[in-house]
Amino acid sequence: MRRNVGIGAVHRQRLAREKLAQKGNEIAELQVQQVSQQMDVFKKSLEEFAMKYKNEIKKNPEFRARFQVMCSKIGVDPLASSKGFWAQLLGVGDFYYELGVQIVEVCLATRPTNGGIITMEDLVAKLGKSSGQTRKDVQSDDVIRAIGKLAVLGDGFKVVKAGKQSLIQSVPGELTMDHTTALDVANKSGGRLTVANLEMMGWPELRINKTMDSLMDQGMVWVDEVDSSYWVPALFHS
Amino acid sequence: KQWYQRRVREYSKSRSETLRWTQLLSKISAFMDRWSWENKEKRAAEESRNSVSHVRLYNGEDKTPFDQGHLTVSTHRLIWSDGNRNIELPLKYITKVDSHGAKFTKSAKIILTLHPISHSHPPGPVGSSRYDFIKLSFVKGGHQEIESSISTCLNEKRWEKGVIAVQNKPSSLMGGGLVRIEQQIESSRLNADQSLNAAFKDIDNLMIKGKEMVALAERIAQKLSDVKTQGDETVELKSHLLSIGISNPVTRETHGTGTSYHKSLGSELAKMLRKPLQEAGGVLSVSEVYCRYNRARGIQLVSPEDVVNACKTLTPEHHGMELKRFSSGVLVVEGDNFKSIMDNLLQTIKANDCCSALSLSNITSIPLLLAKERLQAAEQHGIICRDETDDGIFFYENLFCLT
Repeated sequence: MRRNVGIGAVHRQRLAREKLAQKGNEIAELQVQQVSQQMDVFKKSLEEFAMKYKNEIKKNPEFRARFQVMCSKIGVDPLASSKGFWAQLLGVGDFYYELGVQIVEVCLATRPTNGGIITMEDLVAKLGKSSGQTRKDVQSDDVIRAIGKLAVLGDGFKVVKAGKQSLIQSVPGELTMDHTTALDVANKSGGRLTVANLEMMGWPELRINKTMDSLMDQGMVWVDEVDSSYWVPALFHS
Repeated sequence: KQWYQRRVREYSKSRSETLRWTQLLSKISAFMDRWSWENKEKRAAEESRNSVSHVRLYNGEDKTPFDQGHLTVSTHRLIWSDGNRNIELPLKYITKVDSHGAKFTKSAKIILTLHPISHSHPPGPVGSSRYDFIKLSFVKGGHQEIESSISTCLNEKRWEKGVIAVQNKPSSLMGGGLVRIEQQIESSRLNADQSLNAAFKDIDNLMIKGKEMVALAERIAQKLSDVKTQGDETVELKSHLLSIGISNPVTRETHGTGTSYHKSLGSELAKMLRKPLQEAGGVLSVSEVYCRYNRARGIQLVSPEDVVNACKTLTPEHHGMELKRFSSGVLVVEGDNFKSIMDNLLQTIKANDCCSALSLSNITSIPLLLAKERLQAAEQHGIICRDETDDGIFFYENLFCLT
């Protein structure tokens, strides 16, 4: 008598499949329960942590940085949602969101001058001035994180590196490598750039013109017609 | 004869004295050469911090005859005195401070590692030392306080600062009130440091727990996306995932735009934005929306992602405005008067023959960025066309399309 043929076998197989599916559902439910329980336990320890360190987060930049690093190590983004654990219990969110608001305001205010690009040092200094005490301990690490969050608003907020200088861009549009190189060269001479500087790097005339034209279009570079040089207001040292 | 004997005795006494002294000197010739005889003059802003008795000095590992003395720690130097001899060691020679506690046969000791001697060093019990460290042995205890006083004074480095702290500190040896206040400040600073370290440890512990949970949650999320079951549990799980900040694509689809939170946030935004939108000519960038909303809220601020998701729920029918995305990635909230905006634009251009983005933004008082985008949108609809020159880009009414 062969086992695995015939209607009986089909029935058996169907039964087995159903049973397996049921078991699978049970296991899934169990796992969800498990996660919920773990979540509660975690929430409790987070609440304890929050009670102790809520103020530290606001006041101590070292603490903030360490906290963020740990979060990214375990794959969690504490700033993702303002309804999440972190924002509600620790108030991490408030610090960074408010910083974001101030960054947007500073960038909008300086855009007519610098065309939408500003150095990190300038931004941190202006942030320190804008709302008194609480902002004096803002560091570039905090700014970088806040800008990472602002990127989703679609206005092209990003951090660009021109050589050793970190620049914050607040207008959409890509700055190519040529643009950032030109900005880097300008930075080394206090914000001034001449065609000769770029020729020294071996650029042909067409490339120089194209780069400078597009930077001018975006308003990031001004032309000095007296001595045919270019100035980058964002890189002026105060 | 008696007189003679007396003289001999005196003579031999003084001889033996000198002998004793030379023997002593030779013993200590290899002695801690950084010590010098005490300069009784007080330095500017010097204060005494701590003192303890029954201290013996060691040259490196060797005992010295400087025993049973009184050690005083001041902001500028260490002073050892036993009534007859007073020697001092400027703190600037000390590079490191260590200590051992008392053991059964050995007393508690502090070990001070020193800089090599400099030429301008005033004379002391002399010689040159083989060792570059000295020890202080505390027979009657007190080594921990002395150690912390020395460390504090080393950190302060008062000897480098000159005469600054003199004005409101009366004679430094008064000790008592002022010294105690300083010690309290110092200990609270140490406490703050320690509590910061404790805080870091706490973060680490929290994160260890978080890690396990996150791993578990992710595994389940993976399974769910495979199985595609839609049930109450999955909804709950997804909201859990979102609340701990795991941005899983699964959560974003269903919960990004769909949650009631974002819907209600959207309605709130619509109410708040109605007037500003009118004033701004019907268009506001999402960054502006984010700023205005959070400024108005004050506390419990909203994340940029939440703002964007809330804007996604806006519809012209219910809210009178909606989210628009330009090809450059710029996001704006537009009032439901797009057509009228375009008409206005055309009128403005016709009235001025042509417009650049800059002139348009000046005339209609909208931000430059939006003027650019609006002109580009109108161009894509065929209403206007552009003329690129060296002076910039100008827009004219599109006469080519008029039939």
